[in-house]
Amino acid sequence: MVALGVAVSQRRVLRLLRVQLRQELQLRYLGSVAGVYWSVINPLVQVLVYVVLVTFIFKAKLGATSGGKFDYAIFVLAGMSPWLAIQDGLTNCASSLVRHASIVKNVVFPLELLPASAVVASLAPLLVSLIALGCLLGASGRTVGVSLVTLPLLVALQLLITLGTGLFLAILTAFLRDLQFILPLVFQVVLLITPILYLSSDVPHPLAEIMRINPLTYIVEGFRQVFYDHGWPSAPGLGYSAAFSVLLVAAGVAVFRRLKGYAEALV
Amino acid sequence: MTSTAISARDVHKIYGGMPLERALRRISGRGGKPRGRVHALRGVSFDVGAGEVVGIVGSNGAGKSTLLRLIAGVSEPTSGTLLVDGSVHAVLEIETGLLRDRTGRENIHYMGGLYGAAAEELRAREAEIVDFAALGSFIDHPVRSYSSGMKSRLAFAIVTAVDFDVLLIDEALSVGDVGFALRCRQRIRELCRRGATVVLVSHALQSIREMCDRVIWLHEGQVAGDGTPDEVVEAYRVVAHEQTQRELARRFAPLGGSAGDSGSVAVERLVATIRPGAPAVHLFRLGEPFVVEAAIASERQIDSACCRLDVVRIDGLLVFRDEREISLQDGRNELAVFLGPMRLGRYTYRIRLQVTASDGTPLAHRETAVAVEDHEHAYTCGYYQEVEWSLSA
Repeated sequence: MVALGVAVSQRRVLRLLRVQLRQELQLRYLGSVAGVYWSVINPLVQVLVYVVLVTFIFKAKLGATSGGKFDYAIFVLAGMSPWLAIQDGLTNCASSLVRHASIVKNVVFPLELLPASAVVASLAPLLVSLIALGCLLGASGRTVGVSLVTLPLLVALQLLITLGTGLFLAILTAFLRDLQFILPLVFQVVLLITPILYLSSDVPHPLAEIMRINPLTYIVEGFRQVFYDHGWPSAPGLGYSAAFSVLLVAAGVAVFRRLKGYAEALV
Repeated sequence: MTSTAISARDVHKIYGGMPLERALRRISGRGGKPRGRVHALRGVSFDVGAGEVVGIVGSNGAGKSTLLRLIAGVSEPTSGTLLVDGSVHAVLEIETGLLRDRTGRENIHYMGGLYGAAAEELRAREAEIVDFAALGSFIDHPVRSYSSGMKSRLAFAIVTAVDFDVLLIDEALSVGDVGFALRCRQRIRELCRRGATVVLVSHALQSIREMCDRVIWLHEGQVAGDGTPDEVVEAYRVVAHEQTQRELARRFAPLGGSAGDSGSVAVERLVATIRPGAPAVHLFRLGEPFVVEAAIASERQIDSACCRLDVVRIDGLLVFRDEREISLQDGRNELAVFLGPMRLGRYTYRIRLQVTASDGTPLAHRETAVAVEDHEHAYTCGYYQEVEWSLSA
């Protein structure tokens, strides 16, 4: 009887997630031209700026590059793809309760689904980046190796980290609206301590240590192994990231559950 | 024996009580100073059987909406237990989760989905929902262009179209027009026949009385009455009446002193009451005798003066005016104007008595105010009665 109840409610949760996700995606990608701009063109322009900056202005050479003309662009975009999706997911998680205030206030609804659907929706910018990456790979005549099979694992880890952090951000933003505006600043700092624009081996002493404890490092490097170096992602690194993200999700769920009863009065 | 749909045991709700919440609020500085604790519900217990229609009445701030939110599950009790058997649908606010930027039709699918209806079911019921909401071509316009009546119609239509066990409605029906209110009642009765439990919060006592099997009266977060609609609504009405009476007396107190007297004549006292000599009444029930009493002091005898009584609705509409030639004696003159049974609509009215000399120069005036209680002929404003004036020195 109880088991049946749980099964039914899980099906209901999945259905609700689907409804919420569809609405989230429609609102963002069908609702307006600007929506497409923000979530597709904007990040790609960002990547382009870094590429131009590094290859043409600083004329930096990466240790591993073989000198192909799109090499650095592929290098950056491979690492940037998960990061852009994480940024997108976290931004939308942070605003999820506040944006859906009328649901929070009116509908009997598992509130966890609001940040959760923002996290799933972050697959859309990932897809866009990967398509752009595919075009670049094609244009430069490169291919990807068998390590492509690890991509689902990398994406799963990326989603878990987004979810864990996103749950914190969602509920805390209900209390502290300013968090939404602090977030872009935090993203800049995280970009610095994650080997996206450069190799972790090229980084000086204190920053390298910070990078080593940053769980995003191994996900980003994993993406780059798959699309750029054609090697296998580091297993211990991914193990560390996995452990970290599972703990993060557990803590996020605990805090969210603890505080969500107060959200209704705040948003 | 029917089963229990809602069971509340010693439910308390305290807003702003949690240390972490307070700390976070202090950091964020949202809404200025952190508000103190608000003890909205103080030990509420009751059971609602499946299929019952229960009305909740009480003055503003009594905890009605808080209770409904707790039953709905959007908010959690601070202590106590609140069990609800089955799925709950609620119309807690006018917009009830409608997406402002999507059309009415898109909202049917979105909201219906949130309430757990399958996509095919919603497609099948779409026409019925559109029909019930009576939005015409607006159904394909964004919700942000809707009036509040349209929003509540759409929300109610969606919420009641999807199967549920318990329906909660907070005042949402009061924004619709008369026709819609009627259809809502019909729909609610239909739902009850199918065994749904309905909890209504409303200030419209008449409709509570007509629709509910049972009424719970909340007063300052506690259950002050629980029983048949007739007895609970009447008990609440008596208390609410006294409370409003006191409030109005306080609010109207400054008016009494607003006489702009000049020279030798003064209106010393002006009150509305139910019979001469009775205490002042500030809140009238429909049909109660309506008497205006005044004391006019004069330092000399005036053979011919004009005395005019105006009753002006608070928005400026003159609903009644009558005047008489009177002669004032030296000293205190008692005036009583009998207007017959109270026939005014549910509003607040200023009562102004003005005394002018025969050549038209104003001598004295004074104002007071009365309000008329909620009743079914809420918007009448005419007052065409045989008015009787009596003056004694």
